[in-house]
Amino acid sequence: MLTKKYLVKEKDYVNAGKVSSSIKKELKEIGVDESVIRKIAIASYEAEINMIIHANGGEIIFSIDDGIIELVFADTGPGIPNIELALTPGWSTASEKARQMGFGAGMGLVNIKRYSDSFDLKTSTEGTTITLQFKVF
Amino acid sequence: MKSVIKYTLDKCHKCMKCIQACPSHALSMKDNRIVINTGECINCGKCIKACVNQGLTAISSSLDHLKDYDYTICLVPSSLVAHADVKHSVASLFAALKKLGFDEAISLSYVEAGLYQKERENKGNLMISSFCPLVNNLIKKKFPALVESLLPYDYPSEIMAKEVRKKYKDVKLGIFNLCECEAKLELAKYPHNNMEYEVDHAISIVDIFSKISSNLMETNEDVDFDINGLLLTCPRAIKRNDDILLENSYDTVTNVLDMAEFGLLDDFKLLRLYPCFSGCLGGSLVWGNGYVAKRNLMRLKDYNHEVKIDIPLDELLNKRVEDKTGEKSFKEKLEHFNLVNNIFEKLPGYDCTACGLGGCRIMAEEIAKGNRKIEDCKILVKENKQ
Repeated sequence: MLTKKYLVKEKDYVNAGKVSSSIKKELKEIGVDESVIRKIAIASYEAEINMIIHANGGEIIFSIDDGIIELVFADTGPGIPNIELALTPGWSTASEKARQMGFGAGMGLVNIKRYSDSFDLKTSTEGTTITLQFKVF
Repeated sequence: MKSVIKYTLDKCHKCMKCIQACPSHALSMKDNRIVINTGECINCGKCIKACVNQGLTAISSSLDHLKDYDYTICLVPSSLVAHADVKHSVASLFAALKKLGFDEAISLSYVEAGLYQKERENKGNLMISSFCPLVNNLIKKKFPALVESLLPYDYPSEIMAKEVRKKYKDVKLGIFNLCECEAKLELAKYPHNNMEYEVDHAISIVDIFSKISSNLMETNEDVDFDINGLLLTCPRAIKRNDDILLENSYDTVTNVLDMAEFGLLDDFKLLRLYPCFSGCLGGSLVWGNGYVAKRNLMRLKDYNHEVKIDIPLDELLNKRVEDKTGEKSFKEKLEHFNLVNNIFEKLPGYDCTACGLGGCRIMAEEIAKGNRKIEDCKILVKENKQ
């Protein structure tokens, strides 16, 4: 059993991706299978960026238990009004500034769902929590 | 992979510069001497540059072995050819190599150009060129998720060695590859006993450069090379292409690989990564510098002579298999990671290297394995005394 908690600050574009880098580094240190590392790297990077662009930051909890790697992305942002739309490839609400920085192509949630073995999304006007699970084997 | 680097001092000055420079934490200090963990070393050569007392060196084979064979062939890397500025001096370079005792000198530029052609044919997902042994080692060690993105092609020296062996089946043939960097010294049977390679001996260019230059003279012999292969030795000389990403320094290469692992470079088709500054032209075992060589290379461009050689796809592929036995189960790996983490949290985290290891994480790893004790940490011992 291993649990780690990371904080992500609102609109902190400069540090965008640092949590995902730390998680990726730890997965390599453990010696997780390379195909699993790749899926987690892509999904966690997207989810981290989403927290920075759309929500007011939040926390990421990374845990491993019994062959399952779980990542929880909990933000206190405005919530996702229409989940179906948000899961449509290419649909984006990113601000002009975010787009200029290369973010907000409208594939974020789509890729997060595609690369994870289990995807759960809970959203309200209080915030959004995405829970991803990955099988280690 | 095996380390080609050896430590040569009897007594070290203990500046720890090499340990700090090593990106793989493969170096440590034991009994006043540097020990290289050959399984971790990626042959980047950073430690050699970092040592101010010339205590580390890359071991290369020697020309003495020419006499072991009936017929000898010298494979000439394009990075060496590109250091000549006119076609005439390329011809004298090849003539000088024959004077050193080789029966034949063959430019690798044909294979290099042919391989690049194949690399550019990739229309699918992002792939990474497999031409640089250092990048391949780096990916295997530090970016394992990208191993499946490596193109399956073998090294130009190996492809050419296989070709010439077919031609000289009935003689005792010795194939010598001139190497422009530490990582390429690994790609031969000798001196590092890597029997899976077709090339017999790997020779460092700097080791024989004085002999080459003293034999340089006017020649009437003609020489053939493929200019497209030569241009590949320097990323700044390659024609720009939107689908191809070229980088030329160790740090940018690692940044690019990091981004590729996050899927951020999927719009590209090919990554061609040169960890040496100026590319292979600037390899640390090449005499001369990358700036001058790049200028010379641009002059050679006028000799736009292309020689096509046709090698079947199957013979371009790297078929050496890596031994992956002895891997621990995930449960064991996680238990070990937790154990290392617990020790790591007790250490100061300054990565001062005073203990003789590459940083606190490596120290925690060594304590977990039972090779060191927590009291070996000089900072903790000092803090406890106060």
